[in-house]
Amino acid sequence: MRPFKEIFFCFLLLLLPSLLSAQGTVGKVKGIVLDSQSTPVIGVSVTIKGSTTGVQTDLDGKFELQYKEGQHTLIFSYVGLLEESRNVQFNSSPKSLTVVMKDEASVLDDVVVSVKGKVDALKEQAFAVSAVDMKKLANSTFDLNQILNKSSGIKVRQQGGVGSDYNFSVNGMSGKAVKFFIDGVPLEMLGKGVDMNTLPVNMAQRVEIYKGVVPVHLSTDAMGGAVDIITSGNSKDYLDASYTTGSFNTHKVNLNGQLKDKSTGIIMRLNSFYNYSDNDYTMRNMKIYNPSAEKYEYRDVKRFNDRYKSMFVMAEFGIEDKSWADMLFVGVSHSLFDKQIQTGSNQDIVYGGVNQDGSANNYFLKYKKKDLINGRFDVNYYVGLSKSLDKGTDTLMRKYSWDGSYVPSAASELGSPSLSRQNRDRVFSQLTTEFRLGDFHKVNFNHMLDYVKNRSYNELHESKYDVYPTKMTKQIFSFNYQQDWFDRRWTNVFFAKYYLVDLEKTVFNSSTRKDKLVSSQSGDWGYGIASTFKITKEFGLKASFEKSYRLLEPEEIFGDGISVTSNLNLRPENSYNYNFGMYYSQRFNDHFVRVDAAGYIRDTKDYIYTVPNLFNSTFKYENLSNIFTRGVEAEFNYQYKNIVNVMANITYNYAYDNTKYANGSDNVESATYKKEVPNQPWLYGNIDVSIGQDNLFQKDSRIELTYGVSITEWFYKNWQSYGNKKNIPTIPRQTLHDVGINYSVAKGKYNFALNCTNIGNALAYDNFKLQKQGRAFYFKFRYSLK
Amino acid sequence: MKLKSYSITSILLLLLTVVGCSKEPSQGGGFEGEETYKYFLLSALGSWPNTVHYITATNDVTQGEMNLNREGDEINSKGTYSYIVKNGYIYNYKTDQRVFKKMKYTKDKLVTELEIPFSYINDISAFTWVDDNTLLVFGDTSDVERIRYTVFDVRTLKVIKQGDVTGLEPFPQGYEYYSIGSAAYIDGVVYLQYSFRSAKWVYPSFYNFATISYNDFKVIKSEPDNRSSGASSGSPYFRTSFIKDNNSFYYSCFTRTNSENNDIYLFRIIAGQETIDRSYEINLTKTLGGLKPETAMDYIGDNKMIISYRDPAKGSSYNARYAIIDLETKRVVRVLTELPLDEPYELGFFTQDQKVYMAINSAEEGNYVWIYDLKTDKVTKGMTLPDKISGFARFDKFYDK
Repeated sequence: MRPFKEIFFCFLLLLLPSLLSAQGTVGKVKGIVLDSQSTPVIGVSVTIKGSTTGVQTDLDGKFELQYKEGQHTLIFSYVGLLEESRNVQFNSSPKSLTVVMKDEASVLDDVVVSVKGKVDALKEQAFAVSAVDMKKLANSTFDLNQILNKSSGIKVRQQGGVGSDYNFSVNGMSGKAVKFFIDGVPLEMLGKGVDMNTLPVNMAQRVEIYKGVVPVHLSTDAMGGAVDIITSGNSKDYLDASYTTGSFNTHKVNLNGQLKDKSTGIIMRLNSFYNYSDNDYTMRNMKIYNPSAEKYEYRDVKRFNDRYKSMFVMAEFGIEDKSWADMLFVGVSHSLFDKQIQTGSNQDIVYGGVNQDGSANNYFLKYKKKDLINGRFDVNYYVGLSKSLDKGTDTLMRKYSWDGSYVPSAASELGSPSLSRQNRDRVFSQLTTEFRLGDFHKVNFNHMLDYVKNRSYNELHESKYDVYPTKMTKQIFSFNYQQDWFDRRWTNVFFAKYYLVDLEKTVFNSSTRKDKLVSSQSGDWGYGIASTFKITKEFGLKASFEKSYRLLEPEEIFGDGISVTSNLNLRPENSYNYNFGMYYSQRFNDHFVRVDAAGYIRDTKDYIYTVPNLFNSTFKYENLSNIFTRGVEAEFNYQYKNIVNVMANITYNYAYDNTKYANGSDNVESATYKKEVPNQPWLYGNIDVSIGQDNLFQKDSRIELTYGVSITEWFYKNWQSYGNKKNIPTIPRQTLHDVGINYSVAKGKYNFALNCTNIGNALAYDNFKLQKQGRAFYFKFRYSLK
Repeated sequence: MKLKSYSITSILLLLLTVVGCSKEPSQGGGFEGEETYKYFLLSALGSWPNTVHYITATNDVTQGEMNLNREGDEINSKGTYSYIVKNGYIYNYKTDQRVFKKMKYTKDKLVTELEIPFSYINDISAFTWVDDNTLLVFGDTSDVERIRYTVFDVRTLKVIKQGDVTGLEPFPQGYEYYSIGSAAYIDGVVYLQYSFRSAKWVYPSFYNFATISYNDFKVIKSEPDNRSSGASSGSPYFRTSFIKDNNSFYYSCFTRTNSENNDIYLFRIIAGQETIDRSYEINLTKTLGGLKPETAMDYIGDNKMIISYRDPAKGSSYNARYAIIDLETKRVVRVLTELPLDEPYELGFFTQDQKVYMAINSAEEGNYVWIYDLKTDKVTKGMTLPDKISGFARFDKFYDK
């Protein structure tokens, strides 16, 4: 309780000035600034003529300004947009004002429309966040993972081609420590067919990657960070359809659209996709036994058990801009996937008949109402029910070889024949509220409930009803206080999260030979702070900190009573995450430069792993290791008119074993203490260049050439300090080049893209030298009607 | 444009500089090592999941140092470390790849000499040597419950014969799986301890013991014994049985579930007999004063065995001792208190010429080989070993003599 008390008193002290200042409210005015495309404009300077009072529009393009009551003139200014002025009445209950600013570009050729996008504005937030503007990449043939893998601090290690498993690392932390969301809702709610390498880029407006410190609206136990995919929140009608085809018999279809019935105001929204790929790319130098020569030989062969397909449909119906709701939507989604599994954890393990498939339905309601209680209070609510069934098939008693041949085996391919089934029901609800104490102070209270009921069984031996479900209820109560000082140049965010977890499952009791129901409840406090200071309009500093958790799961604490014994003293994995950063953006006539640089520290403790108990051949989960990670990352962006775009980034990540004592002792210092953790990329970078020209071949067209290079530096597979140095295996440096050409006509209505990935056909691999595809070609046609 | 050029050049230079500075380590140079070795050590380094196992070797364990900072080869990528060792070679069944390997440690590197596809058994649950060139392994299959055998000529890794063991006792009500214990070959007869278990690893209140004809792998005699339940582990990871003077086979019984409530026993069969020696048993737990033995025991000579056990009174880790038990008097004749307390991993000792060589992973400064000489009853300190590690997974000899 002690940390919470301290935090609470700090909040009170910090709130005091705002509460006092809120007493002397004068007249005010509020509104929204849009560009000529009706898109909200962020960071517009709104000042009162003849005074020094002013604000900037927020992430939704909105502003609110207090001043003495009466008629005053507001000046709206932004580089690249024509200045606007309005005479407005400041009073106690103002009406919302809408200001449309025209592009200066409309009268000048080749001038960059330099409206500060939401992405740049997000990067200047107090949180350490990478944001990727997906609108610019809507014509790309890449998937989300491929695009995000080019962001600083992100490393996606993928097992193979389309639909393969991946490990998404944010500043060196990965696995269960990184959580994925779509519009603030866990991506898992949509089923396993929807993930970062199957979601079409057209569906996303942008992707926000929170590194180490996660804001309360993404309340969950995201110890290492969170990725939030933001879909279109636009209220206009649109249709966005695309078809991609390419190497390895890959086909991707995507259809998104929205229609508003003007008479009833009902909005209908549809998002859907279908993916298919044989993933039969060539594996080089694979070890294959030649029975006639009685020895193993090395040959190039094609993958033969890696077909993947997935499908997703989501329909939403709702209304907007009613007196009782800014937005109310109900929706339903269905997803399914079917994938073959080609390899195990390394490519020497080959499967020929292992596959997975599954389906999920999700039903949801979302509601938003802003400006309640004299325009001070906003409320946002989401509730969803997801029902999913995931299946795994491993029934062939065979051992496959890379040439597709097989021999009979004493075991199934994964070890024991199974038709594994996982039935999962999940309820997720999130209530987000915001109360503005004044112009510069606001508080948020959120409540998240995540209930999962899970039945896992092997259909070869048991049915769903033979198995008592495992139940897990996570609740997170979070509180956030944000203060802005010096005309929003200095922003501080203080937050605290209380994690409450209820677990229930059955465990086999070998004495009574019966299953016994066990349960537990635990609570932990997390807390943090984020701060940003804009020293000038172009240059700012930021820092953030959070104590975060990855909560326990039932199997970890209770075991199963058979092969995994219980450990009631297990603690959740936890981490002290620190970020420091700066940004600088400057326009020099037609040139725009932006530099973001950051440093980070992750002091992670109590990582949970299984430990064998040799005495009775069982396992137990224990808090075993601590890892200390530090790193730096930098990203450089350059833009020349609307012609040249250059992005370059580099990330250096250093992680060392911070487990001081070996074998749970309190006096034997481990040999690997403070030694660099093996098998982790430590240096990687990307360069993307695009050169485009408008109206080259015909009016309202644009042609763009793109080039990208990704470099992942070599790294040690094992501890670099130990063993004969000639024996230490390394994963060699990988340099991959991509090129592409995009052509859009009729103001982006018809779009054609041709990309070649890994143009040098370099040997590329991930996790434990799992080979990835060589050179590949993709073509995409996209139709966009707005 | 000038600024553009500068900016692009700067960032490219930055990337190239950092990348250029990081030179990939060359595979040349390094510690040379010997052509052949007599002894080897497997050390586990690092906390999970970054635990890496290294092999180092020597020709003299009585002096010198094994230093992981200059020597050793990692073994995880080359196989499991359930090593069967004979005449300078390591034999290993890499089950995830279904490959049986013959490896040699030479010039400080683990080299694969021969390998064949092998998928006839699930894993090696028990093994024994028929002669210096003939290896017999037992395992099960994961579809139909049966016990299979394979006999290898280890010179070529050719399979001499393989099949199902026939004539085992039928499954009692409620038990559907075999649990294979230890095996021994003496003079044309194979001795195999086994048990039954349920899917939830519950054992009946007895175990079984079979004598099997090596010629056709038909059971000569199989009998239940209700003095204990479970089965010893015949896997190459452990040593929970031993052959004494080529005239008797001693084996123990361990269970997985409810193991806290079961004492561990040692039983035996005399070579040439078809049935077990029911007049003989040692309650190892009671003999050790109520302490549970580890899955590490072996015969030294002169009717004496060595066994490792943990003593919780000494702490939750680094609490293991070695004791010498007389197989005739069934009493502890010696506790090796001269040795520092040990944190056992899997099998950190071997016996040779009535001596025991122990790699002790101690909480004290420095790890060493400790040598117990049965003839003199003296303990001496030998080679310096890597310290501050997770444990010694294996310390063994490459040759019997």
